[in-house]
Amino acid sequence: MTSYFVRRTAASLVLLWLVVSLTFVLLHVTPGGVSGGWVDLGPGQSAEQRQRLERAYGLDRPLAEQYLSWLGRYARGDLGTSWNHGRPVTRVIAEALPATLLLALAAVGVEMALAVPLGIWAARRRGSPTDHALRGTGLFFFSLPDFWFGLMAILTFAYLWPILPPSHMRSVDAHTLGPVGQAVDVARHLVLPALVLGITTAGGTLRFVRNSLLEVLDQDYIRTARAKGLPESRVVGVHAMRNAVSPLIQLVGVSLPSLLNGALVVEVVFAWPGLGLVTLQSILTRDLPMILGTTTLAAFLVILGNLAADLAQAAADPRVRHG
Amino acid sequence: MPRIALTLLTVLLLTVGAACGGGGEPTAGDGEAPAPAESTAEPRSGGQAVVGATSDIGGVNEVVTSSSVINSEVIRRMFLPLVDEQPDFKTIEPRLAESWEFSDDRRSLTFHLRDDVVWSDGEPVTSDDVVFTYNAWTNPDVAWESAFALEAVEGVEAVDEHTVRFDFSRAYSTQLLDVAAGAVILPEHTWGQKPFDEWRTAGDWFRENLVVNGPFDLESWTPQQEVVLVRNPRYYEEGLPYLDRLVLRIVPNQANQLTQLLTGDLDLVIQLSPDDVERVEATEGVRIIPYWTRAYISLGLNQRRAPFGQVEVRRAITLGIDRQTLVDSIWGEYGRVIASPIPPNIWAYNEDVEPLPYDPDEARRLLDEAGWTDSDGDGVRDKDGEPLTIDLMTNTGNRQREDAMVLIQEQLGRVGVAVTPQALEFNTMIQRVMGGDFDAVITGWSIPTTFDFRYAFASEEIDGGSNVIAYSNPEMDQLLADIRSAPTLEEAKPLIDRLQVMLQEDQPYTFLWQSQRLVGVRNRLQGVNPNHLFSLFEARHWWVEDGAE
Repeated sequence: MTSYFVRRTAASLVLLWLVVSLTFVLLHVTPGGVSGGWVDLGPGQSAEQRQRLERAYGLDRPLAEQYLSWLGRYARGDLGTSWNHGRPVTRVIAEALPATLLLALAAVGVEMALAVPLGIWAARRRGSPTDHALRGTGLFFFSLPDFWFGLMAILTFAYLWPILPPSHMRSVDAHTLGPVGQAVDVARHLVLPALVLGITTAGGTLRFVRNSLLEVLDQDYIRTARAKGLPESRVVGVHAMRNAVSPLIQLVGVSLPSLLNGALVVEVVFAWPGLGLVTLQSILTRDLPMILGTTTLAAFLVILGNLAADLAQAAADPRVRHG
Repeated sequence: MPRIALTLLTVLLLTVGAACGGGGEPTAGDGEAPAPAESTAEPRSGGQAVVGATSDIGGVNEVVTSSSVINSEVIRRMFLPLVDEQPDFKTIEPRLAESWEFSDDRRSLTFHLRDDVVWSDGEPVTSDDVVFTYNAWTNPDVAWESAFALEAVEGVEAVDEHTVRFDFSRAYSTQLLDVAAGAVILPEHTWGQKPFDEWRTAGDWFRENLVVNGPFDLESWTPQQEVVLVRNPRYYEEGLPYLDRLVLRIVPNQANQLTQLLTGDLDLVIQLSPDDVERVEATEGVRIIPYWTRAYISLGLNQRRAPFGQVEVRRAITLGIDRQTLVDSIWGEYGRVIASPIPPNIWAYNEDVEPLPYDPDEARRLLDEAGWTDSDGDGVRDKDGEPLTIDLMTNTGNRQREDAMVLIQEQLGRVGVAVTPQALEFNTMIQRVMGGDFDAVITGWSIPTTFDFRYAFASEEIDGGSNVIAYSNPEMDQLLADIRSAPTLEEAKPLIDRLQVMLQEDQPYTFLWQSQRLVGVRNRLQGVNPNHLFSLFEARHWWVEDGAE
């Protein structure tokens, strides 16, 4: 087990290094990357001025040298300073991360609350009109573009029938509220983005739950349970679900990064102050250290999610770690 | 931020979708009919207004944050410049400096500062602050991006506590604007404690050690959410600002911004699309204030490539484009055809220069004369076996320009010029434009308030500068230099008139259009007077009808 753990972790680190290095190189050679974009403000700016700025950011040195010193700092956990804000990248990310995690967790909650019961329902009525309707609806929401769905939700619940706030994490006058009032305020703001993100992802998860449950329901031991005369609710709820749920847990682990991805779009539509907004703004202002920082974090999460899933599976299943 | 915002980048970006300033002023010129529901009641003090912005500010110190319009909008509410440039591009109003005078040779400019302006911690604003600010502007480690405007400044001296003198290596027409209106004055007694070589990494420190001298102070800044400005009780203008709080809410999605304007969550939205007008006008309690932007859109032909170096060919291309139809179909009533980069809402406009008409017959005649005829009958003119083709490019995501390319392709096709439209990713396009690797490009430029057009038309700007089309005419070079060295812009007016005539004759660019920006405002908010310098220009005079609550 230990050697498997070491091997997988080492492989993950190499992968992470490849991803961030590739990002570094791509950003530095893209047209407008460094010297043609933010630093090059175009007409009116003299070449001398540009050189000053490049010197201030160490962009005048050879690319290989920049890369090595950047990699050295990254290895020590120093993600550099945002050009646009003049603040440490880690601090900007640390400020934005909680909002993104809150949204992602709430969305997973919505996703599971919808997908698991509905998936079971569909599986139990395999082939029936209910099953078809549920799968069709799931596919519909899964295929909806997040931003469009988000805008429609805003239009419906903040404009036509104004019961929820249209954007942000807090109200303009939130500072006048007490601690409980503030928590309620955040919760109200969370409803729409969490629903939009949760419902769109639930569409796919529903189908996943249904299929893995069906696979289990075909197994011999389920037939045995049924033959023993157990009620169907107990067969599905206890015997089948226990085995169907483990791939689901893995799905959650692996899908966390894609949730964060979806959150990017949803955050922009709802002005939710998470990593998605930070990433968007970094790209618009060509804030290279910030772009590198958020990309690295995303790569890190994807790789970590996969690693955790692999290790969990290996712990559970000896065939994996000795394979 | 840099007044000289003549950056191709800025203008292009702003039209890509970021909320930006720009525009013409609504009081002068033509075509202005705003201000329905503008109340005639007396202003009231108190209350708050909420403004929607598409992006966050970068920081509170303008010399080390990348220039974005939203930064300037906010920083200009907190800090004062020596003088305030006005939207008419002409008037200059005293701010920190109550008066100023030039020496006889105009190589020294002395400012007399108000003695009643204090920083928000009570310290007086003095000439030391001005000297300190100048040192920051020009420090190589600070690397302020607009420092180029100060190349003719030799030094600054604090004559006494409230008198400060700038010395110049030469006299020219915009000395005052360059040193006094381009940027704000910074607090020496606080920010002076930070060594210049640490400025670019001190974003948090500047915020923690923020003192202001403008109408508003920063109450809080929640990144990606909101910037809350509050009345600065020590502001020197009696009774101003009227508002207690001015909240900037960041709403990156423009459709959501519009919704929030309609619901009343936002009192003001800086940029509406012409498509939104119908919905806004159908809504009770909201008005639209249109104003001419400071950007002009033009089609540039790369004169390094034959036959675009020939005046007749360029002229034929302008005559072959039906610009009025173009503008009507793209902008409706919110755009107009222009003859030069100095449109009618700017005082220096030359009324005798009309845009060239749409005249396809004349275009055909000029092309025939230049030797470009359709010898093989394929519908495309040719000369010495070469067809007359133009690869026309612009940046992707800008719908107006993409639409324009297609219309131009069709119109020029009718006079026998084959146009291939191509929308490129912004930075790829910039790289090709700067490298001279293109036939023709549709771009946006900002109109410099200094009327210093050397960046666009002077031949010394061809290599490494921004005369990307490589237009060269010695007479033009001389004219541009003369405008620059005229003692004042008023005295340069005949030269600026001549410039417009020459641009009409030479057609270095086909000037396409100028358009209006639409600001959406809830009627409860009054005193709003957005202009092409700043949408929040008059924020200290804004007031709300339900104020004094």
